[in-house]
Amino acid sequence: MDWGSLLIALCCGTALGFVLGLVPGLGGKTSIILTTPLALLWDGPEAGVFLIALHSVIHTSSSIPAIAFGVPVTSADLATVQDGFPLARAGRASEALGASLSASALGGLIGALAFLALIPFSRSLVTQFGPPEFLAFACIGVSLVATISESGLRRGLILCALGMLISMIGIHPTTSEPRFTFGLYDLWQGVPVQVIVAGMFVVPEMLTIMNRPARLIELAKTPYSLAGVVHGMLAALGFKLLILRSSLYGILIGILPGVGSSVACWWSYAYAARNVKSDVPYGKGALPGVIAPEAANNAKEGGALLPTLLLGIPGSSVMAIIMVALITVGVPIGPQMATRPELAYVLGATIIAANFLAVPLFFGVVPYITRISLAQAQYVAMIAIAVALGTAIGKTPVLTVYFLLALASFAGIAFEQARWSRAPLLLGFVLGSLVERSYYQTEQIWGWNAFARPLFLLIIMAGVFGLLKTRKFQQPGREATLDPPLMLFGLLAVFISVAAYAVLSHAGGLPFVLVVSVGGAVLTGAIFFSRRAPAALVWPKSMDGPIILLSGSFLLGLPAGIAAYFLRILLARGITSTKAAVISGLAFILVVMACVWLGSFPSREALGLVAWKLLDY
Amino acid sequence: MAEDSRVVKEVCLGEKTRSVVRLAAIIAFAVLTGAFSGTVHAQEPSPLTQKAIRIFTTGTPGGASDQFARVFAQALERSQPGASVTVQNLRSKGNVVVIKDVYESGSREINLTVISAGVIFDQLSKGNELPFDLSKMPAVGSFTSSNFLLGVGQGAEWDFKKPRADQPQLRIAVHYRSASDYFFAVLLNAITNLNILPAEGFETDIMKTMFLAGDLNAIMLSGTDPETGLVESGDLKPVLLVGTTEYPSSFSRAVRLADVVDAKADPEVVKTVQQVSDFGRLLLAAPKTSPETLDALRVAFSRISNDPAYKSDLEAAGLVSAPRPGDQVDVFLKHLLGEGSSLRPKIAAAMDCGRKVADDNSVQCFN
Repeated sequence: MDWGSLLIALCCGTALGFVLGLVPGLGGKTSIILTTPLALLWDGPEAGVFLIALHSVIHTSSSIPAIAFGVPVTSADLATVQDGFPLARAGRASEALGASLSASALGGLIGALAFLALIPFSRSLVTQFGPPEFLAFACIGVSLVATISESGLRRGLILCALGMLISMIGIHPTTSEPRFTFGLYDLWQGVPVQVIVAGMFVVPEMLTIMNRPARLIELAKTPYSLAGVVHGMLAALGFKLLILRSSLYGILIGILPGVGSSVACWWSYAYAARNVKSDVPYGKGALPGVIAPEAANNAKEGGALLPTLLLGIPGSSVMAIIMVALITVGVPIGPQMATRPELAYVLGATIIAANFLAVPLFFGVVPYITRISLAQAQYVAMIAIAVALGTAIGKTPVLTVYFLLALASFAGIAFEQARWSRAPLLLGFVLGSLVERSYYQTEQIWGWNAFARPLFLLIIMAGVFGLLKTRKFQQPGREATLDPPLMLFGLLAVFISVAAYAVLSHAGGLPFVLVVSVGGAVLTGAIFFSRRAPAALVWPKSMDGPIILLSGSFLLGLPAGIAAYFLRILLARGITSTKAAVISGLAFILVVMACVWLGSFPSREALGLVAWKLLDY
Repeated sequence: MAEDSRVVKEVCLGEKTRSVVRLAAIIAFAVLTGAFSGTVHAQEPSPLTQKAIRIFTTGTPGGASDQFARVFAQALERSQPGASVTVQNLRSKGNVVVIKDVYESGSREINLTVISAGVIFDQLSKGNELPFDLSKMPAVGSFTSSNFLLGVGQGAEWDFKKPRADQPQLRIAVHYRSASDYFFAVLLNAITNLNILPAEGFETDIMKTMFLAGDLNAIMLSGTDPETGLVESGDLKPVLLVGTTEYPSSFSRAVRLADVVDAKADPEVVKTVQQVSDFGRLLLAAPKTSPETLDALRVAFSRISNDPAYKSDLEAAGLVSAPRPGDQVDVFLKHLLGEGSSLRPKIAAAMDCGRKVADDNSVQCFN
């Protein structure tokens, strides 16, 4: 092995991964796809070192926009946003970023050490887990609603059921028949997670901020400071057990094939919310709420490497791409790696080195990024909406996405106004397909014999024990939830319609659909009939902005839609027309460049319906 | 004498000059004609350089379909100077939407898509439910064979000579009910005496884990899967090779389908099963592609398939080249999926029977 070129690959991969992690919408998978051709310039293990270093630090830097602006770069950052963004708004951005940095680096270190230690036992470890164990994990995951729902268990379960129903849209996992697609082929692949994130989280949250004449950092007393970051880093070290536990969750989820990384983040977040005391309520800026998901997120890379390198079983789609790249450059993958064990150790050490190389990069970038959070909140929020909606449209460029985005945004705003926590919806969405698929897999192969599997029983027992041990998740100072009749009626209509439609259309997995939809209807009905006083939804101002963005990009293309959106908002804020036109023009050029870079031209969504028709594509 | 010699000299010189002039004229004519014809040839626009060429894939980024498309795109640009070829992986859109987009696209650009055997089976099972008809999409060619293999784990038992009723069950996991591994499993039930039970809804990595854990005693994989490493590591014993191609070499120990097929099985069904495996990754064009463009694409495909640089690029990407020309693929798709196909009901009946065999091994499919 040429140690010099390995070192160059390590530095290049770390630096590039750090930069890509700052770009909302790219995420781990797209970043790996974009950079794989670069990796293949090397012809040997350097390619693996480059890609693994790159992937190891993406989640370290992706926490920066998640904390500073509340914009999750990857779906795994959603748990970090829950407390990271409130911390930033409370003027503790530096502290949150420091804590995130410590937790990420230590999580990465623990994950890599676990990988190195488990190499000799990899095969026996990975083959212990099958669909029954995935089902058990997923069910425990759903039970976390009890922990993460700030608006009470019943409301949490309702939104979790809604999330699960949304996850059922698309092709049925076993019969491959379309389900709830209403004749729209665009829905055959299901609803993209970016749509849920943008519509349910970013748009409502940012519209609320835009309507407050305040700075993003409300207190604005403690802007970015090196001392703040160091304080955050040291504060995180005070949560050693939490970091260790979250890292173990991350490693475990990383080892399991097909279980998304966001599950690890939510799991550890819920553990923290249940068991770790915080002076600030969770969801309002609790430091452990940032530490737990960040440690899990980085630790899972070590876990995911284990089945990928030593068994040739990629634990995620990202690992699958890395595996293919390694095979292409001649690195033996799977049982053949036993012939060159030193490669496994080099790749494991890469995770450790990359996580520590990311620390100085973090210090270099954070001052500039956090300075933006001192800007007027409305402008940051404006950019966040454009990025989130633009990413969702660009990521899955189908026309149905426009409609889904509008629908998700309206629902998200309604839940935000009613102060219903939307985290359970995301949990239901993430875990819904895993629960259903694992259930059918278990039923076909094992049936009731699954209960004869010791590990399955152990996980179930540990889950039940954890739930019983759960401390009541209190939210001191939490704002009371509202139950607007219009919103409840809408939810009730959705659950009943889904149940009726599933029965009439003989939808695949009917019992499962009925359990979720009828359960959701019963819980919603209970709240509907027991509410004390009618409450009305107060729709935020500036809603015309997202509407202009969606309709403009549908008709005139994504660059024009985003430019029109900026123009509208800037003019409404009293900016001179010349300045507004210049900024909008810049946004137009930037989006055109992004579309060209991502290869979106010519597509109906990038060109818009009008140009598409005029050019007769 | 001197006069004579002068005349002779003049005549000879004149003759010589004339010959030289004639020769020069001929050469000039030839050169000019050649140059002119060359100019005409160079100026004659190739249909492949007049429009942008886009190849859409929907497989895993870095997977076999994706890699074939990219290596082919590079070779096409090399062979057609001035051609602009882009490859777009639109996995998030899903293959149905992407194939539909190509199927409905106009002739403003040259739109192509790479499909695998699974889509052929999808159309066989879903029929009119799909928004495209593969038999109406002209084929540019087939990149390689999928070469499906049935392999078993340690301790699994089977005997091709035993009647099906006495066969131990081979339990495999498949992706879903319209994926190629499911179809091959039920069709093998119908045309051999094997008894395969496919469990549906599994991803490849979970299948592999379960196989290694002993929860499954058999597995169905394609020659382009990275999982072929299981054969090399000795975890998987190759049992039955569906296709007729000769790669990967580790599969060569497996029995060929033709050697173990049920004597009563419909030969047309058997041949189709082999062909679907052989026509593994297809490059299809939009139905509105002009005949000139299609011809140019097919000629280019044929040239590129024999190009040593293309073959070496494929080899570097770990892919095997077993190309087949577009017209052969066209005939096959029309015969199998075209309107009024007599083969389609036969395949459908064999699949139905193969499904019944999984539940009841006494069922006979061809009487």
